[in-house]
Amino acid sequence: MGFSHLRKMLLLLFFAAVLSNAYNHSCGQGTGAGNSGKRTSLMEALKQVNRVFGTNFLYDQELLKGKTTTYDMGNIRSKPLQEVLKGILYPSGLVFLYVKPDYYTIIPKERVREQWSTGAPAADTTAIPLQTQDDGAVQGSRTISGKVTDREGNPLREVYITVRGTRIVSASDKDGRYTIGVTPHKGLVLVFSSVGFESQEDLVKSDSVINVVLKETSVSLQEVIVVGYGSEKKEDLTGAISTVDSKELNENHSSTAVSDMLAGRLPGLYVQKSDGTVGTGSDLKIRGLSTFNNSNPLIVIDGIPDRSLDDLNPTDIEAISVLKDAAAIAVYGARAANGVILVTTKKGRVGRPEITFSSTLIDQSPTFMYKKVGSYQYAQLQNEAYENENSFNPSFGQGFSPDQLQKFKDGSDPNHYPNTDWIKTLAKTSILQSSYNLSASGGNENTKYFLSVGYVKNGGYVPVEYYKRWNLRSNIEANITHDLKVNLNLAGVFSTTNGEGVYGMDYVIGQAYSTAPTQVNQFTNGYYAYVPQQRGNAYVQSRGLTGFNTTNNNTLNSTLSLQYDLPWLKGVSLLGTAAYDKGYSFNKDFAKPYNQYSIDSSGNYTQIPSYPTAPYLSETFTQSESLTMEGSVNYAGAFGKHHVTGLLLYTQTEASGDNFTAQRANFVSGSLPQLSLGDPSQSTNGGSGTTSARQGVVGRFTYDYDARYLMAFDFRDDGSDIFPPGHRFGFFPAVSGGWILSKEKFYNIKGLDFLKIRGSWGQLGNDQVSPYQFLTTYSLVGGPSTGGGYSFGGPNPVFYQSLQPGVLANPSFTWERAVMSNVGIEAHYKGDLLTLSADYFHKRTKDILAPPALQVPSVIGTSLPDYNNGVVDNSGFEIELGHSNHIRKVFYFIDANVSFNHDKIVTYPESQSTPSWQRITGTSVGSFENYPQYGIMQVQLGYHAQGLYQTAQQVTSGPTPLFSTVAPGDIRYQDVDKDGAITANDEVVLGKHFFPGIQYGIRWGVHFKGLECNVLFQGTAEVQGYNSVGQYNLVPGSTELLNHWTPQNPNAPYPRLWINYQNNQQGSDYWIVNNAYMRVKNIELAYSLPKKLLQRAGVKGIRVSFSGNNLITLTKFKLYDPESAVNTNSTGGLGNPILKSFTAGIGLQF
Amino acid sequence: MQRNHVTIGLMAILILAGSACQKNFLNKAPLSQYSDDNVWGDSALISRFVDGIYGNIISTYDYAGDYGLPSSFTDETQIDPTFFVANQVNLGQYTAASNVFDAFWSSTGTPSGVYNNVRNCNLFFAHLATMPLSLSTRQQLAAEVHFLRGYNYQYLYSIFGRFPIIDTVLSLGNNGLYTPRATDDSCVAYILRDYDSAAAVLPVQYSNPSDVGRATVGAALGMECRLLLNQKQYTQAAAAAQAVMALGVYQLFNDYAGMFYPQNDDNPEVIFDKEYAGDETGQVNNVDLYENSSFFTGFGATPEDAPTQNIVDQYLMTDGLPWNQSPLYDSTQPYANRDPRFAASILYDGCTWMGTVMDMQSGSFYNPVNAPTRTGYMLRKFLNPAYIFYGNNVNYGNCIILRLAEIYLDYAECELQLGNAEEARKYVNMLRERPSVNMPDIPTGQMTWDAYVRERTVELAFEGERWEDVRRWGIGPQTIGAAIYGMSIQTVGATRQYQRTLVQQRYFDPKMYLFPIPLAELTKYPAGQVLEQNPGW
Repeated sequence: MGFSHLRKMLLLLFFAAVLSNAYNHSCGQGTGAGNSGKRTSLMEALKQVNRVFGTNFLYDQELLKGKTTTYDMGNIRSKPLQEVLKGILYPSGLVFLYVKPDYYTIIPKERVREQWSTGAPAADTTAIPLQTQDDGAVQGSRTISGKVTDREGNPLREVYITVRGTRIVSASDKDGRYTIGVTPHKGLVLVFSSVGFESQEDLVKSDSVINVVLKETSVSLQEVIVVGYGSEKKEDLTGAISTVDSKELNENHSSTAVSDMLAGRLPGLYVQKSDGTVGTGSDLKIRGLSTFNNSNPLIVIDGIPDRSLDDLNPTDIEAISVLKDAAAIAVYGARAANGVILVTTKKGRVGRPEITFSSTLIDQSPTFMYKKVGSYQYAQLQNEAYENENSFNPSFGQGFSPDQLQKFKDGSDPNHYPNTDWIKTLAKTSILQSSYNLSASGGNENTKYFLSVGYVKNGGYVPVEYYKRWNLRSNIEANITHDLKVNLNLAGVFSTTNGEGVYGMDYVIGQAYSTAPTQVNQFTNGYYAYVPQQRGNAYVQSRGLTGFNTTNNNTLNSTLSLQYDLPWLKGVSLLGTAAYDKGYSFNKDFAKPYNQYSIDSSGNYTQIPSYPTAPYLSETFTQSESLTMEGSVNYAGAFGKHHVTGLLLYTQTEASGDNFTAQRANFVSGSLPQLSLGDPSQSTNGGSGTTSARQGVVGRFTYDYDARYLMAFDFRDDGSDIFPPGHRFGFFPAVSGGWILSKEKFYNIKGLDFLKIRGSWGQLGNDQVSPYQFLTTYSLVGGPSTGGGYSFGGPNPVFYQSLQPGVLANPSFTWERAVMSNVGIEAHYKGDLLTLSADYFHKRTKDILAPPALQVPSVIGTSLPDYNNGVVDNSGFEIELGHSNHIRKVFYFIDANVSFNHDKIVTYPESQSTPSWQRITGTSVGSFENYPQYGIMQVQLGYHAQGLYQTAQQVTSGPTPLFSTVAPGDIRYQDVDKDGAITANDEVVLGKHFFPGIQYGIRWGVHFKGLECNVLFQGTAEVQGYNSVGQYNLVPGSTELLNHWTPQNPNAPYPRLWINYQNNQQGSDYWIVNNAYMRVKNIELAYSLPKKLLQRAGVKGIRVSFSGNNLITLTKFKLYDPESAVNTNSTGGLGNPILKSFTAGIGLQF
Repeated sequence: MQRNHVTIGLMAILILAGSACQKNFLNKAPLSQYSDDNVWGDSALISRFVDGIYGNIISTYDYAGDYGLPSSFTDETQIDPTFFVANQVNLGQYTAASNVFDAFWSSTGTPSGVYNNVRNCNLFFAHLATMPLSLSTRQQLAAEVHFLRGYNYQYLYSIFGRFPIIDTVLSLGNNGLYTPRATDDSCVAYILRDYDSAAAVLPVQYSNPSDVGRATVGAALGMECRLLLNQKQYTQAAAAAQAVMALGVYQLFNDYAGMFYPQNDDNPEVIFDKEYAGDETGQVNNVDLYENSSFFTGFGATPEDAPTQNIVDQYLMTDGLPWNQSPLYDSTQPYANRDPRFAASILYDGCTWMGTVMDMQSGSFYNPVNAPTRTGYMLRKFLNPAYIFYGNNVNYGNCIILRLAEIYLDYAECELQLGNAEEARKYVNMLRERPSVNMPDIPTGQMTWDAYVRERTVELAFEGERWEDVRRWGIGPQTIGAAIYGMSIQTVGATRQYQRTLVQQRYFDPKMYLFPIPLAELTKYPAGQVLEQNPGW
């Protein structure tokens, strides 16, 4: 719900009634208070107060200069603080204002009202002229009292209570109690207001006690949203932006990666997780796909692009904004065409230090288990398949003899005829993840800090794999002078990923899936078996006995910025920022031999050499750095009801990277993995480097009249070294406007108290292609890791590296350009009782960079460069509906969001001789084999299936099948070109929606006192998956195979079994599945212990929580997790599985 | 005081902003790649460019892995059935879109597709005039590149038949892109012209040992011989063969098995080969890894290409008779008394390999149930008995592309076809008379076509020549489409029983003599200019 956001973002000087009382008392007290007559300077007096009470003061030093007090400082210890302050300050015409606990600001008495009217954002209360009861102007005849609490029952102090239509004001004390005198009359209403909470009005009847529970303010309108190079109040936004705050993010504890936590929470953001490999997150796309190049959004963390989202410590995040339309992203114009994800990390707040500790323990297991048959059934299936192909021949390993079948069945000879459940043998049933976070934040008016340290470790599905990460962060803000601010953010990420030694991450589990149950894992004498298909033994590999492959990633992100508010030019400030990011990565791959055995048919064991036969160690060191420099001029001014802001910014980024690798083989021993212990004559090394640069000028100008008519113009003039000289710069403008109808005088829709429409149009760029394609380049290749090169010299070879030409040069290509329009509406009915936000967008991406590989015959003999030659249209809309309310003390909310997208390739560079049914033009980006992040647009052609042949007559009477071996039970394909035969020409473009057309999330929650329950449902629809596991027969012995075609089972979903025959293995829409799903993405149950109880122990808060992730998944596709069946990658969903989890967490605040 | 702070702050901001505005900030260039100017103005780089073209040629060893050796496309070997390309061909389970040999047409992988290599050759010729080279170096390199271009086109021709002749550096928008397939005569003439240009300049031998392996006049003439023979131009082919022999530098190597060992790289029988260096350079072949039993490798699955009973039966008994006619044949010891080339080429039950007696019964260590040989045999030719499966860089033998024995056989075939059986017999007997072969001569008057075919089949077994032989001889149905047999071995009581067993009935259709031009390639041409597909596809 993000209530804390508001409190934080506005540095408020809150005028509490405590003060107004105090001020008035002082008049009488000022002289009466006996004193020693000794004069003390005010500054010195305040220092003493600070020493005694720990109170901090914020003031302009000029104000106190030369002023003294005669107040008796001798025994202030025995007096209440407020009395002391009154005594010190009031005689000099100064008053003190409460800011927050232990913080007061000091201002002249005459500025009290001014402060009041600008400081407090609760608009309806500020208009009332200050008038306290003690003034006696309207002395009430009756007293009402009561207690104000928040929804958890904690008392609220400094709640401001007014009698509507009067100047009567009171405030609650630290126990939340208040008293106010009123003159009873019909329709007497008390207004309770406090910063950070919604005003509440209560009709006074006869009661004299009114207890009030205040709800936190609606985030939605007052919230200040971080936008590109600045921030804006949500109410004033003209762009399409959705946000999620830290509290909501941390409802989901299931992952180490922030991207995993975003699913279903942000309209317009598509989150897909294709596998559960430790340390990896989800694939993020904003508003679908609109280019066949890289469609990944730009990630901006604390203002600096290209930092890693999934390396962040989730608890360090203050908020994440997803910028969707041109108005929101034009300032990142060059690389923003796919949308921008802005992340801001936490900052310190003025106040007493707050220390937070939290810890979670997570137990994970796969959402779907891939079910396999036992060895007996497997052997039968194999036999049937071989028989179908007339190649049943057990003596050459083609099938199993009846004798062998019997042994699988009765399990009498487990050394030769086992029944191995590989997954069960080596995968963990319960995967643990633990995390610990400690943070401290605080500060005073001049210096604020947020410091944190976090540690997380996640085990893998197989024991050898794990991921762990340390995060450190120090965000410090300081005012060097009144006008000059400095900001220094430092963040360190130190992560370790570990996998198996020879083949790395993901290998072992893939082997476990794909090995038949007829293979032995461990012989009865305890030896581990050599399994050829696994190139060893997957169990031994999974236990790390074959070595390790460890990658340490160390990243430092630093940002230093200076802001100078020009004192002689009101509203103008200068900002300079330098950000330096440095990354080191060290990979150590140590592989060593191990004992594995083979058994012959008479039961003798022999040790089989393992691969490698002697240990080898390979180390790779990579470093990268990036320096961004920015300088900007900002202006904000108001002329009556005209508000103007402007920003002009120059930015440049220079990045470079180097790596080298070294390897030695033939280690004497496998006990120590250090390079120097390897055979010096078996050493190799290599290395390379990269560099890149960008620069740009950014501008933003906004104008509004009365915060009612809003207008903005944004642009970016961007340069990238990727393009040839003369084509490097692109200008990307955006205009936008908004109209808050509800502020119009004529507006009179009851209850609908906020209504805004807005629209934007702009152009954006994308340059995610390989650099230097405008140059004719030659690479010198040859070496152990790259291959290539050539040798002469016969038995004594002399090796030469060789030159290979690069891509064909394209002297003129430039930015891909997206033209984007957006219209949106935002409405609030009775505050946050009902809220609606809806956006429609249309985006045409032109000049898409793609090689004309489908138009240029390969006889050209070289790789083709990218040209600006494709067009894609993408349109869609997002709706977010919210409802929040309370029934007595039970607060609840429900938020639903749904996003639709539809893309179409308008033109793709392809040949006109391509049959119409094989053309990419007219299809959708989401219908391709590989998502664009893999770089190549590869059309997925396949046949259109028409069920299975049932009779031999059908085979012979229809179009000639692809192969002479086609028989009943095989898939029947459509003769698209009607030439009487199925040929490759009959292939069509497969699939329409490998990328989901619809994604949605429904989140609801209930809060009662300290109890909280939050639930998130999330799902996708209009999405197809490709069951490549079925197509390729890849995974031996899926239970799916049991339901295959036989003459007795003609309606089976799976064709007749095959081994070598290709007909059923052709790409076809037979294997396209509907993998829409809805899942209970997240449930969190939390309890915050009553603060009262904790205060004595010196603890501010304790929150315990239990949560579950991916608990239930509803889907038609049951083979494996539908989210991982995203495309036609040959492994399908059979990598590391997607996990469900249970979490226990505790958070402590001091 | 405050003024000072302000000044400092302002200066800091200005420095930040100011340092930024550098001109040419975006003028970056690749850090580790050479430009056109670098390459063609530097003789050392030009030489490395030509080395690259050598490195990209396709040899038999390059098939090991996903394709399966060329022998598995014919009746010589049976491939592991799981996923290899050859398997699709054996059962006729492929279409023009099945990606059978797409990469050989064009690919930037290693080795590169033919058109990528041809472009590099053409690129070399385009810059030839301005190269800073001495006349002799220029001529020498040009001759090598002529040879390499001819070799690449010949390779393409052997797979797809007629091809578009590209002899310039094509750019986008160039009409040459849509060059149609040339006629057979033009294709052959073009290749011969390249070889002739090469032969006119290339040396017979290289005096510098570190140049051994470069194209020679013998290589050019020998490849001409192979091409002409395949064109059935027997007179010209015989002349080319004679020209090779007349160079006087080649002689049969006296160790048939050892000819393929790394220590005998570039032995006097070798006319042209693809050279490999070893692990340290990454320039390796994978034959030992894929063809050995998993017992030795501890790696991978089934030995990839298993010799068939069909090829085993081609090896004569030491009396010069086929197994089914010879009294020396003993069905309980079927491998005794065979042409020594049998033991040199095939691992069989009871042979010794890498110090171990090979037991080929199903369920033995060498032929385990979970990674069986598909025929009861494993490949022996090309493998190195001293191979260390990881970490020894001298273990990578060169792949012989052309050797004198083939020239003898080519010559013999020409003479047979030209009616000079006795001349043919002379050369076949020279092969048989080698000490390591030591088979009885074919007697006068008995040089039959069948005897020749059998001799060629055995001598060149698995070396990648058979597809073209089959096509030239027109025996696709009997060979490519053959019923493939293996040897099933069992011990009953104390005796071993050897049983010929059907492994696979293969498929053949005459269209298969030529592979289809990749369909994806055809659709790249504009309407009306689409390349003609091979017949039947």
